[in-house]
Amino acid sequence: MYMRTSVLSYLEESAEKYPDKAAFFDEKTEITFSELRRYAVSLGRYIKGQLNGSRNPILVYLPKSVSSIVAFMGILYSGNFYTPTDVRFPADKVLSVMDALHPSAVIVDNNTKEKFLDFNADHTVKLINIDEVSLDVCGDSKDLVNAILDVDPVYVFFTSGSTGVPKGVIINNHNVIDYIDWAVSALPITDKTIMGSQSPFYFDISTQDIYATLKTGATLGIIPPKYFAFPAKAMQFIKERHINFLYWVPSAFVNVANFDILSSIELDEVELIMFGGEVMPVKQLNYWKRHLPNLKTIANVYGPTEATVNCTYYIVDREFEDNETLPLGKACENTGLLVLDEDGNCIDKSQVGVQGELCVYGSSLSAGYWDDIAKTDEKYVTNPICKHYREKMYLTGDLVYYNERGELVFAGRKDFQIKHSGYRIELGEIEAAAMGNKFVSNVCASYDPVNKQIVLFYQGDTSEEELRDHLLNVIPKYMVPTVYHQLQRFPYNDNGKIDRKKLNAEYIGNK
Amino acid sequence: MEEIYKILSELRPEFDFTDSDDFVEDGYLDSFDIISLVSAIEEKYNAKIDGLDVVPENFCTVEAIAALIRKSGGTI
Repeated sequence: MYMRTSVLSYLEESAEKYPDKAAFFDEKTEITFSELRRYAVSLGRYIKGQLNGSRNPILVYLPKSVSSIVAFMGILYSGNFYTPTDVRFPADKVLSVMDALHPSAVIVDNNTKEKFLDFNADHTVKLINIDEVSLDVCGDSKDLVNAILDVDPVYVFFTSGSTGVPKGVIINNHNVIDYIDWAVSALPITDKTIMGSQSPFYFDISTQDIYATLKTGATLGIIPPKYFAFPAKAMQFIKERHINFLYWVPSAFVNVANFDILSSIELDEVELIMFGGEVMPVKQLNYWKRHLPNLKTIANVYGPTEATVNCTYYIVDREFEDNETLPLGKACENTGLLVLDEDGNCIDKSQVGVQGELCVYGSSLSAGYWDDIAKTDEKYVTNPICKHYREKMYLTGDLVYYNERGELVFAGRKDFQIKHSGYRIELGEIEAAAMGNKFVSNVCASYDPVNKQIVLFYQGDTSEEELRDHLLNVIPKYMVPTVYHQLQRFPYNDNGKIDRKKLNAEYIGNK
Repeated sequence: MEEIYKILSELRPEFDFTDSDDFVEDGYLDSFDIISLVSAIEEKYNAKIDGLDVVPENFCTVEAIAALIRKSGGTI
């Protein structure tokens, strides 16, 4: 038995309990729990021999595949931690992560090695070609696992900073263990679960995908990323591989709904859908609900990377109209939440509708930002209700309020709250209202501070006049946008969220 | 065909689509481009594209896209 200080104890236990069961598969490969353990321990010993000491950052430059999982686990067995990148990223993006992280080694394979060498002028970084490492040596792993402390990092994920410089969020073993303990207790994940992975590995939905699989003996199917351009292909893959659990970003669900794929391809094994990372439009959620005959659970989750995947959840327990908003729900177990007004006072459940910034504390809180103590101090402050000793609390920058049911509701980013004609307005509320129009498939509201105009970007089969008439019927006139841009294409950032910065730069241009 | 090239280059001005014999394999069109392209050609050619026809084979060349438009009731 292990004292659980490392996420590797999940793999150790599952390799023992389910040695021959499929743990991970992609389009081409499948790997069992015992194979994964064997390959990862072998790789871990090899990496350990190549580097000095522990807690070294290692960049993984592999396609989203089973071999990435082997690399992540191998890095952890070696006593180091990983940062995944996407092989489809432009060179500059990979180099900016390299500059921020200064990895001690980069893991490549036969195919990605050349590409990496092509754009990386700094040839001093150590390359480890996973295809050249003998992965079948293995042996005992106890010494490797026992050497890991629960404060050792598992990964550093880079999120785009407001200044354009990526911020590396450090997530430790105890952060992941705390999150996964919640996930497997709150969600129906068992050894019969087959999850369909959509999220890139550098985005933290993958934390649940990977570690809930390892903990419960479930199976994770990596849906080929290219299939999300062709939703019918993704749905066929899900059907053929008996995937029954989908935790995706909302835009992936929205695309399938907008192409109406589920009318032709019935996913009768899917029992759970779960989404987070941005707001899930109810219209497309209702489409999924109508088309999944055996759907049992719908979960709306929310959380910043800094608080390890999610800090609130709502299991959908009632019907919502297309123009309503799903609540964020309540705190994940063992997570502390405060809602603070501008003066730093706590807002409680009795103050229905009063907005404040959501703040998080507890074991899921990351240690901060890589190589950026100033930014860490700015966002991780002292918990104001803890007066006699120092406890950290993270400021999410997200505005929330309690509804009359005592559920938290997302009101928007603090940065997206605008003041217009003396009113305080949430751009998210305008977006939800516009999505209530049945001809609108995608929206983004913004503000032009110079011309003092609310701007609405939308996709859909309706004219500006019709959309404006619709909005006048559902929101107060002071909230109705005066400038409309009907777009064929929304720009998206690497995480699949609408790229607001790009829209503002292109169409508003004065910021 | 010229018009289809024009729509494509408006979507991704950084690529020369006449250079590629498979837009999807060559990475010229990502998932968001496909969605935009579908709505653009539906509007332009008055076609209604079935979601099941949104597969790589129908988007790899301008000829394939033209065939898809015809199949979907559009006039080209």
